[in-house]
Amino acid sequence: MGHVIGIDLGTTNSCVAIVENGQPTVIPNAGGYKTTPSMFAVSDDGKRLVGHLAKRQAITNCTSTVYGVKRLIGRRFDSEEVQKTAELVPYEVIRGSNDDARLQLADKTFTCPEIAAIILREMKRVAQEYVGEPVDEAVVTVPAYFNDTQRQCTKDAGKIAGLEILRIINEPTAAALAYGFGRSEEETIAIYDLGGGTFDISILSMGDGVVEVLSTNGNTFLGGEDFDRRVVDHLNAWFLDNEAIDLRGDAMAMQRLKDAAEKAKCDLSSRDVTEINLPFIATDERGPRHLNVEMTRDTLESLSHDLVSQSLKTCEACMRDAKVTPDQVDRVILVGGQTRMPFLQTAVAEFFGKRPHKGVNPDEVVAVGAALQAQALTADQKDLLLLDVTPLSLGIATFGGRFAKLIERNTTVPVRRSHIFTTTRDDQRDVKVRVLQGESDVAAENDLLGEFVLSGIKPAPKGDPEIEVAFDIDANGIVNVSARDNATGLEQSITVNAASTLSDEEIQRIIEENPPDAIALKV
Amino acid sequence: MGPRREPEDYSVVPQASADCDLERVTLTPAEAFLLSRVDGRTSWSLLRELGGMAAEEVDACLRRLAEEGIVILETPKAEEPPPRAAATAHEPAPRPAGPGRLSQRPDDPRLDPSLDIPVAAQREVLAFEAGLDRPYHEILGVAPDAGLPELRRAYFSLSKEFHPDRYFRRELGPFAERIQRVFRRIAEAFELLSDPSARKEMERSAEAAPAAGPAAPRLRGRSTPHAFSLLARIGRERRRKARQYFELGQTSIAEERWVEAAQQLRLAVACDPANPDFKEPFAEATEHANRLLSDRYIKEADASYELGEYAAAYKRYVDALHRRPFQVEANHRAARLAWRIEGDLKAAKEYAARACEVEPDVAIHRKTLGQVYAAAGLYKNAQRELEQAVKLDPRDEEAKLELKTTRRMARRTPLGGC
Repeated sequence: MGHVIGIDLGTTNSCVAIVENGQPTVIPNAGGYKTTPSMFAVSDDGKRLVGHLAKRQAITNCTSTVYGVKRLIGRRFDSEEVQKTAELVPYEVIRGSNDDARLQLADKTFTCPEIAAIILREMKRVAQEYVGEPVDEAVVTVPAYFNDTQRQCTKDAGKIAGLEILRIINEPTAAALAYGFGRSEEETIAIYDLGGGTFDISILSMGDGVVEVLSTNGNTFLGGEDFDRRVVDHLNAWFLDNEAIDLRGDAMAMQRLKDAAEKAKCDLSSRDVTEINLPFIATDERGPRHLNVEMTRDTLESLSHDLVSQSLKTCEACMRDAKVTPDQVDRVILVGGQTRMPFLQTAVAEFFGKRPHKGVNPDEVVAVGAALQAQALTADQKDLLLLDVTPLSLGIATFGGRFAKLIERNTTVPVRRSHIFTTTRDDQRDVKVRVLQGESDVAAENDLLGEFVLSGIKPAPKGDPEIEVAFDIDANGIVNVSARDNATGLEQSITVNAASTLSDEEIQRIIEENPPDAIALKV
Repeated sequence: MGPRREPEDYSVVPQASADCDLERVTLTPAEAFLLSRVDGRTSWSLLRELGGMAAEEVDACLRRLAEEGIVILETPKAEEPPPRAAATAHEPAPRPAGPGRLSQRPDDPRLDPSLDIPVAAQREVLAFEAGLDRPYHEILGVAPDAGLPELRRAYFSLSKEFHPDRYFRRELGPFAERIQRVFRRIAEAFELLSDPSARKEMERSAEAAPAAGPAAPRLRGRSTPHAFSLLARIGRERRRKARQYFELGQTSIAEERWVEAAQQLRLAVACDPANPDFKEPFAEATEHANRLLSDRYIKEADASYELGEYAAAYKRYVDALHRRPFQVEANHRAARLAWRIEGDLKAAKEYAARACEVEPDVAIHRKTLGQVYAAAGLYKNAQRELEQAVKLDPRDEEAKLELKTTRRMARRTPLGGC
């Protein structure tokens, strides 16, 4: 059997790990970095760049450099998230043929799974160079709140990249697997994951090599980038006050501000004060202007403390779902680069009443967990087991446009649940079963996964027939729905395939247009 | 009945066999009664002392049951430990079939050495599957009153053995479905036993129907595996409760105690979401209750606002709007407070937009929405709203000034990009 790897496909950075001789290892790229920017660019002369190379030229080529594609993947172009992201990024987001969001770089249109595939292929390449053999199977992580469409698009990206994705697991769950590796204590742990673009919180219970997810929650619009943006706004306001120049219209200056803000934020994790020095950032009739200012940790905290409180509100909701109080949490684990911020660590410590665990590397732990799960699935020796849950509730649309949940979110899979439904008209001969995913009580506000009709129901007064609808989710997350008329034994069922934004033909076309060597990129 | 065997060893503990087919045989009522007492813990001698049957009759019935392969009368060999190892802290509930039992006959046609799962593991799966109808605590192998840590330990230990991931991508034939079935039942047992309210309901319904109580073994063929399923009983119990709440709610409606009615009907709907009768009264009571509560909250909010207690006012406006979202003034005030006091631009935008949605031609609402957009850096949207505001009220100098700045900003590349 070949090698299997774990990939953390991040909003801002990606990371790949592998288990060798029972020990997980994070694989550095050719530049020696253990994480690779999730960035892709088409240069002026048509060359394709990925990772650090793409990031390095981002300032001079911003409209053809893509980052944060994870915010767009598997979403409709009209969705609030896509519209908001489109306003914030310099590259062009356009409507795709399936109403999905696509990217226009120079003269070529890219789908989101295509861009994700380019990043995945880069991570695969990094791994192949390390092991010296082909790698074609992986476990890939996604944020806990990703719905079926987003997960399916991530799988499609794997297919385009020539990787078979054995399993998609949630990022916080992966972090928990990494923490639980080699531990046998019974513990309840909280994974607080504040990455570049998103916030996830999960409560898990572990012991004896088994990891059980109790609940997960998250916020799509809270991440390290929001902290950066606060600093950028602050610096711009300062410059406007002192130099009377608003930098917001100047794309190059804004990119420099953004880089400087990120660096200042990181500096302030270990120091009380840092200097931001951007010479020649603008010019006016007085000649060249420079931005040179000191920033203190206090300033950063006052700019961003509300972002931290927002995350703690989500934590509260998650604890409620898990029926766990903060003092019942034995261990708090911080994941994601943003959690290096001392103020955040203090706030989290106060919330849970204990110091966060320091033993894991917040940038690498998710990839390590993915590699451990890949190993646990494929190896003969099973010493780690993940009891995963379904992230969103599943059910059917009922009379009056309501949503009847049959499987609540956070239910352990595999699972089977059934419920008796009935007719709403006398002598009704058939019922339509519309399978939905989501949390709203209103059917129309949830995602439609599929539908079918059960016909031939025995004529009877309304309310009399017993129609048993059963939901089945297997360990791979594949959903099967059946409806059975208990009077006649007639049954009808479907296997729900999450809607992808790409058809099989499109995926095939993309694979053909981009043979492996065309995407393989030199660092 | 065969020739009399001598001497009988009454210390033997009869066990119900795991996979005999009860549909195949016809039992007398006496035999069935006795079988219902065979629980893997009561010895033959104790069974003879049971009330209601003569000792000789007990002996005869047991022998017949043993001949049919329904009950096993062998003394377990000393070197074979009780089969279930999940819980060790107390006397484990026996698995229906342990080593040396029927399912382990080498000629069990269901065993298939060609599959990618060891025959020993196949036996384990078959044995466990045969006992899936046992009470939940017996499935987990714990005492009926086991606490959460003990339940979880048992659950984890069984999961390691029966979770489908253990056999990821292996060729399992019919065992794939069997393992799924076994694990689902284990997970269900843990989920219900670890949920105090579900547990209480199970105990209550067990009292109401003692025949299926936790200690009683099952008298049932394979064709109706879940005839006594606790889930079904919980379902009935819930529907009964739903009906009670519903009736309370109807009384409250009649007496126009709307808030109470809404609460009671919400419980009714929660207990039985599929019942169409509940929908309309619930909607009606909720509507009335929301109106009452919302009015009260707005009064409180206005009072706080006048006193300058803006944070408290904001909270109350939010509560009021949660009850009834389309109140123009409250939305407008909430929008300004969300923006100015809370710094929550997302909420501010929502409230301001809603005020405009309900009354599109009020200048001040447009202005607020425009200002919120501008604060969020969404200048194109801001410009659109402020233009409306100025059109509706050309004398508003503040709006004009704001529009000018916004127009300038809207022409530039949006913030946050490169």
